[in-house]
Amino acid sequence: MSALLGHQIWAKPVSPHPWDEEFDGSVLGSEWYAYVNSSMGNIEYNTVDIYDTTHTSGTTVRLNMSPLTRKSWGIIQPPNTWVMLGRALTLPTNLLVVTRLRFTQSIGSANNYDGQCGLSLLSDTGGNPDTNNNVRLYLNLNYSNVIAAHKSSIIGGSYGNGSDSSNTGAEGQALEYAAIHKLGTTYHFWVGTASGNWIWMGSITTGLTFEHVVIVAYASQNNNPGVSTIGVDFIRFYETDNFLF
Amino acid sequence: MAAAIYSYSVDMFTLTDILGARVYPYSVDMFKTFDVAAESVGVASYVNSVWDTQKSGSDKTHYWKSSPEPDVNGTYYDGPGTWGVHTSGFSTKKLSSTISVEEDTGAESNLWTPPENPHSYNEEFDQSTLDSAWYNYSGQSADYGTISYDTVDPYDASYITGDELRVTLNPDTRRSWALMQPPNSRWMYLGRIYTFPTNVLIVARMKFLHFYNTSTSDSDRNIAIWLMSDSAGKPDPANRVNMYLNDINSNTIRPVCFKTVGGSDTDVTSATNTAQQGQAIEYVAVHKIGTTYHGWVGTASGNWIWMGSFTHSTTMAHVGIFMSNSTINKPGVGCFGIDFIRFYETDNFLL
Repeated sequence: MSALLGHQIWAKPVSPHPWDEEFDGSVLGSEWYAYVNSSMGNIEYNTVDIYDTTHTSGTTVRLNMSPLTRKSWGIIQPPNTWVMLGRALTLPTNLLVVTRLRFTQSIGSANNYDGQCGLSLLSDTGGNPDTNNNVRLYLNLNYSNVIAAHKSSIIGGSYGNGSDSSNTGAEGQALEYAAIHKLGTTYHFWVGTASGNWIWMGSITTGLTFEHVVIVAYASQNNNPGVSTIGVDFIRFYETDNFLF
Repeated sequence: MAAAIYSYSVDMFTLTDILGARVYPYSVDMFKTFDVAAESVGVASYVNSVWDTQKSGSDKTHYWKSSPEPDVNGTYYDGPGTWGVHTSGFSTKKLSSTISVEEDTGAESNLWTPPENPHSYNEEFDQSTLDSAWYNYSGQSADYGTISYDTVDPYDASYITGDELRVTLNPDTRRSWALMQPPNSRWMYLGRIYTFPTNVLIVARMKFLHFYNTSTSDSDRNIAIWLMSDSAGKPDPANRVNMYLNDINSNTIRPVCFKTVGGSDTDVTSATNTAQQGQAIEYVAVHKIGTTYHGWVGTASGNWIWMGSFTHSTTMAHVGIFMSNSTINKPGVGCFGIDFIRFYETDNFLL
């Protein structure tokens, strides 16, 4: 690794984990799935169009991999609802999962849940991610004229452990990285800025076994200029009990 | 370019250090240039050992590209081909001088990374002077002004008149940027003539200098992308498309998007909920799709805010960077910067 770039969070690790995904190919591996609302959907490549207001239903998740304008990113366009782009994994005792995300928003947009993206670990139910048992970290939860980082859990179908960053504005947010750190049965939640500073969002301890790691993407409901898109540069895994970012 | 390219001075004894685990031989142009000396010193085993090291990896990409076959006299792998086993060609040549190695660092994932296939109008501001196509238009004189190089000085409070735009290109402290300084109380436009295609996405990365204060005056220091129509061989400020990075207004610094038709500003949208200091807005984009113009601003994190859209029936003929200074000299006359302006002829927004 060049000394010039190695100090950047986004720089590729010298020894990547085999689960790492850099979104620099043309398609995802077959281990990746798209889960839409409450059922498995399908991934459709190279059809993302942020000016398209018609992609509002169905179970197709649009994905453009490594476009010329944003190399080594996956640009995701859900069908105006929430989707999960994920894979099933057997998580080790200690695991740090880090992702770099980007979102689009519309000027003046202040509706609740206008569009968000994040990282989530979920239990398994019948081969599917269990939306009733999970922990999640959103980079940009939208509500009440605020774009805030948010962590919470759904355990046994009940929401809990919610915490939000405060003192945040509705526009121009510099939030960029989301990380969940599993230490045994305790999960720490971190959000990083473009400056490389980190906000610890709290921790959750649960005996649940999580078997799915997903990127959560939720499209804006205001359709301006079209169905919003989410971007992911990478999702990386470090089997460590330390947080040295 | 798929990733960063670094040049190293090498000899046959240091090449193994360079070709460590972080070098990916599948990258096009990895060995963009070998300077191969004429000496016959038996480098074959050395090069082959490098190849063997790569090949022994678990990934299928750990192969040299074999088509076209490496040219022992110079350029290697300078085009598309298939990957395979290299078996010959190194028996009598010695590597020397410099080698350019492409390293897969992840840098390509950043908005500021130069594109793999740049548009011919792209300007990266990485040279010592601007291409002759660029001009300076001085708003106060309503005429073309001059450009002076290596003259920017943010501590200079005396630079208050004239039609000269100061430009310092690619300084050591901010490589591949143009730093610019119009005189105080003036606006200038670093532009060029452009025949706009039907669809084009224009993206720029900019910066501005601000000053600590408890309040600001309106329009203290602004930088923006302006598209302008033409009037008698000059850009016409009365008919333009505006996407500001940092309109300073009412103690806020905020992006603003609007059009100007016949001298009147309309369809104005501006960000709210913005602070006066510490703004993270960094990228500005205007997306022309037919006669519709979308405005976008991006943060340092790479998140984008859609600023709205409008139609403008006037034919735009100039593209460039608008800068304006007020009368405030803190610490001197205000300075601006631009890393690049890039063009993508597309109707999609995949940034």
